[in-house]
Amino acid sequence: MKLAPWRARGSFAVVKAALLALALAACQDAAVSRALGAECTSDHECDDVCATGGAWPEGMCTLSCMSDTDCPSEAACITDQGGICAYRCQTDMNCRFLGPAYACKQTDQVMVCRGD
Amino acid sequence: MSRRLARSSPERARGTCTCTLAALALLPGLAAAEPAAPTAADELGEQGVGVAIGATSGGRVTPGGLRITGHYLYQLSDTDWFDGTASFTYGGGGAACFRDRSAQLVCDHGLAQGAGIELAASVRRVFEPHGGLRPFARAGLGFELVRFTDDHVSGVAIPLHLGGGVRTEVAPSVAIVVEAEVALGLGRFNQGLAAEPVFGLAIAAGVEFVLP
Repeated sequence: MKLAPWRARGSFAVVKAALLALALAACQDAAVSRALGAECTSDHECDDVCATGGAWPEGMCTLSCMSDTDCPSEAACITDQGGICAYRCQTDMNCRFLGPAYACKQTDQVMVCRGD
Repeated sequence: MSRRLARSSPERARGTCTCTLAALALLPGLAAAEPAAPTAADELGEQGVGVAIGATSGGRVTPGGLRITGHYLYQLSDTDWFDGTASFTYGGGGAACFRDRSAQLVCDHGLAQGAGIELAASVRRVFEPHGGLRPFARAGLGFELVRFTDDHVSGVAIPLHLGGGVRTEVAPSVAIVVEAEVALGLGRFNQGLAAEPVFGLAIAAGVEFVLP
């Protein structure tokens, strides 16, 4: 059976839309997670702790740490709030994914993304 | 003596010919006497019920884990049966949703998390048997209530089911079934989650009974 051209185009558009939806779903913001980077207002929104205050605009899920080995490879352990992991960075651009209020700043001899 | 037996004669030739003709004449009768291979209708009956247990993979906003399914079969034609199912999926707990940096809720559940209850209507097409196994294919649409308790996320999903399996009779009116399927569709959830794709793979084994 041959479909009319407009019907064939319609079917193709539906397939394209479905594929696009699946691709978008697969490419959601993978940079942040419940462990590190997600927005939060309290600890229950995170795997471990929610860092809040001026240094962490909109809140940031992070992990308690005693040294860098307690943090994911993209993060360093800083002494804020008794020891938490923060994203390493080299320039402010590296911190844009956390929001416009974040910048790359030196803390404990390491450059990390933070707000103040 | 042996030379005499081996010697061919017109009487012996006539005797051989008569026996061959008689055997040929009996063949159709012998074939009819053999039991005919059971048809799909003989094996599945007009109506049947079944129960299967297996595992389904979830992820993101699709529940996964242990799955128990009840089947109701109703014959539609010589090869097709309506296969109505009620399934219960149960995975582990654990929160896996978070707000990304745009404050959008994102859920990233594992393969075996969440819970779901689903009703599905499918058509099962049964094929010719291979050995003692009768293969079948199944396609249908479901309606599922989904819940991820630790994230307070719940919603509904409309998955399309495509699968197949084999069935073998182990006793009169009793069969063992092994089946695999893929489910894909769309779900709608609370907590500000947008419409999300759902996708799952499932395997199950169970038993089916023909209703009298």
